[in-house]
Amino acid sequence: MPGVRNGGAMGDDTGGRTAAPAAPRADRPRGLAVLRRSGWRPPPVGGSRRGAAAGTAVLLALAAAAVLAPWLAGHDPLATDTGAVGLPPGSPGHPLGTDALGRDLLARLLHGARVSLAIGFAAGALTVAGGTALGALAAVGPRWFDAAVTRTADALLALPMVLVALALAAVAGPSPGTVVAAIALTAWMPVALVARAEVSALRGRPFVRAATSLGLSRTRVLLRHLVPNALPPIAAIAAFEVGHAILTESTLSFLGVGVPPNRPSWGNLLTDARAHLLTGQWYAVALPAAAIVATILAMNLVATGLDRRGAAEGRTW
Amino acid sequence: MSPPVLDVRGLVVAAGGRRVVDGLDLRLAAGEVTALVGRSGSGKSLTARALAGLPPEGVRAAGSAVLDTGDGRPRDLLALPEPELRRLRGRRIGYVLQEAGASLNPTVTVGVHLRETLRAHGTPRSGWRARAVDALRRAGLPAPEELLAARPFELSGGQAQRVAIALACVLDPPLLIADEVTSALDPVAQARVLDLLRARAGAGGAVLVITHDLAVAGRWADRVAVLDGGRIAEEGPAAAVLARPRHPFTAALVRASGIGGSR
Repeated sequence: MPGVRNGGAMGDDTGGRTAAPAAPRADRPRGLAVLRRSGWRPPPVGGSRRGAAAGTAVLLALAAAAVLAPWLAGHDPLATDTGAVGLPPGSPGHPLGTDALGRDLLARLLHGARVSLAIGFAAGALTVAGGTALGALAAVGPRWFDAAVTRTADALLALPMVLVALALAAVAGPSPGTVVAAIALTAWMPVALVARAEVSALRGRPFVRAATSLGLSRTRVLLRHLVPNALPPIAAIAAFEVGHAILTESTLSFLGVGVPPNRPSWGNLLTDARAHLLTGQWYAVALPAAAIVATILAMNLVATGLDRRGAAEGRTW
Repeated sequence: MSPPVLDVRGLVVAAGGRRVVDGLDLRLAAGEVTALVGRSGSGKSLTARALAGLPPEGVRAAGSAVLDTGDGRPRDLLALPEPELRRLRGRRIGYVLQEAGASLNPTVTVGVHLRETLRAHGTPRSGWRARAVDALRRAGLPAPEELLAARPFELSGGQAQRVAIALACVLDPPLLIADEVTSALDPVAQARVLDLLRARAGAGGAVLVITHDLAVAGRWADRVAVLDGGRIAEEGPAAAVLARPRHPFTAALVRASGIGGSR
């Protein structure tokens, strides 16, 4: 199989042009090219499935880069070097150049991926778990609880969330934990409303009545029958929520209330670089921005794939 | 005559201010299959759901339905608080729905369905598998061991309905309410399911079969109760009711289904 297709040429091309090993810009084509050479083919289904596969590949590559950051980076992301200030990409020893304090940009980008992805996935997971729990309980719980959840969600949805997150983070002080909490507290509403709608609709289904008629407790009916069947649409939003969380982390860090400034995150990299945007150091902004965009695009591709899959296969997953 | 398993008196089921069932009396005895017959919309299914304690939202039931709970203290199902009702469901009352496939959760296997039911009633974990397999076998399902791992969409309509019956009977409830369980099945699958219900009665259970099919009632039920205008129009041994209907509505039903008295 591998020899049949010469699609690997694209990967070789990119790899050849970028001299440095494991340059993040080359990560995306590299990841796919490796898969292609190993004989992997996207399943011949629909565009959305191929998109989801590509998105997953990009995310895996980014995650691998983040995990392996200490070994891939080659420099301490915090070490300043006054002899190598503001180097452009392609400089010897600094494949992506250095910032105004002489810190290696590749190392900062890779270490930033650790922080940004970890916060993004943690906040996304917390958002989805909390939102699903609140929405499901609102659907089966007492009327006052339902009213409390839906009205709080409506009220929060009417507020500009970045401002709320900003206020929360500002009060609690910058730390990764604060960022995760601020994101989850301001993003759970769509998940909760979808979970509530799904569970409400499922309550009238015959299998739920059958389970109740067998003497299952309301908790068991909820956990075993209602929530699992409500998951496909929630899974689709979950992917969007992770993308949203990464973006919010960048925003909060950029505004100075997110990850402490001494720790590199993609948002902090943007903050550091913004003063130099118009002085020729465009790459200091472009690289972290590109990493954020690539992650969110990949996440959205996965989300769309999950969504279509749910729609096409209906209730049987 | 032994006391009935379920004694329904003056059952009123009201939906949106209209009394769909209005003063229904019905006695279900052990060892008997009783068919509740009536045309569509006559309130048969509402009756079944009210007796199972699962009326649709906005539907209210009144009257009394006294169930022999086996501990010498018969209880009125319509007056029981939810937690007590929950303990009776599955253990003393089995309820099977019309929609065979839809009455199983598409995301879990047959085995999980059975296990959840056993677990809900405190059956020790060690006994789950044997009882689940036994219930499937009693429901006439071949290869019950393999069936435990099957998901609902892998089953045919007839299989799904027999799994649903196995599920409702896994704890051997003395009362089984079967709501139009054969309407969606082909004649062969229909006969299998009805034989199964007969066998429940043969083993000493009381079975209530809700059906619009008088032929089904005549062939499988011991007693037939005809529901018309929210009440029982006529009730008696199946052969007698079908051979010499006394109520004009029953006579019309018998003529329409063309079974004319022979059994």
